[in-house]
Amino acid sequence: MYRNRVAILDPFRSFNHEIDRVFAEMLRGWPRAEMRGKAGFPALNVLETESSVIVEAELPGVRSEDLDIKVQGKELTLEGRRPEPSGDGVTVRRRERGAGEFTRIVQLAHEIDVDRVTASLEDGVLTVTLPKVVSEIPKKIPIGS
Amino acid sequence: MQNEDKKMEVQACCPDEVEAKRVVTHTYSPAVDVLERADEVVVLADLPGVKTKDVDIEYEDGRLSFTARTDTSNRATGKTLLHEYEPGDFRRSFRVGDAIDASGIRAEMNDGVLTLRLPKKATEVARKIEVRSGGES
Repeated sequence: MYRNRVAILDPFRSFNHEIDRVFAEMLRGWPRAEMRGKAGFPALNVLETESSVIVEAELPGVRSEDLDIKVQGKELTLEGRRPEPSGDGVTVRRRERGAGEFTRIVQLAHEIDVDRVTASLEDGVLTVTLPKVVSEIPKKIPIGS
Repeated sequence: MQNEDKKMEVQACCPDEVEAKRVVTHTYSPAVDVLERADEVVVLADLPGVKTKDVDIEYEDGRLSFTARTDTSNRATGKTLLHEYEPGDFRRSFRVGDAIDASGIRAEMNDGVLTLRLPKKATEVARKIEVRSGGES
């Protein structure tokens, strides 16, 4: 009896491990992000739909020409710079906005169709849409009659 | 940049139908830089996700304040894999000295950054120039 119970529970246990592994893969590499010593700029939100992974970041003041987005294998790299507020005859009275160079690397759990990746930068919000390769999209199999 | 640290308050739900459709639940105090030139003070504020039409700026009794509503219409939906920030509205106010010519305050939005230009009163600019030339001679 006991053996049977273990056998039933086992698949669930390995399912949990699978989730842990996926997250571990995703999180790997993130501590490398930095901006003026501050870890984690820009802050990211990562969402998944059936067909793609969507990465959103708040990047106010970053122009598209100052932003590099690279995808290699399962790795997304966001690299860019935010200009220092300066100029001739300018005295800085208060400085709260970070400036300088930043890099963030996102390790994705899915193989990405690199050629179909799109990105938009609107009102300081970056959205990168990373379509999964077709083989990664779950396919519904109809039960034949 | 660390919006989480600047979480000010959770907005109460609004009865307005339009408001109810918005999923914004946070109002942040945005990060600002304040720069001073000989003839003006410039305030830069990070307002990611905010469109020009959604910024309100007020000046009253020497206090300059702005509120900004973030646009959530383009926000992606799906299963959350990582959640490092919560988009929100913004609000902040400043005490502005008598040296500012309030009627000349101008504002613009670029790439999610609000720029407020506060011209100094002509008398202030003149006085400063006077002091400088006096110091050099």
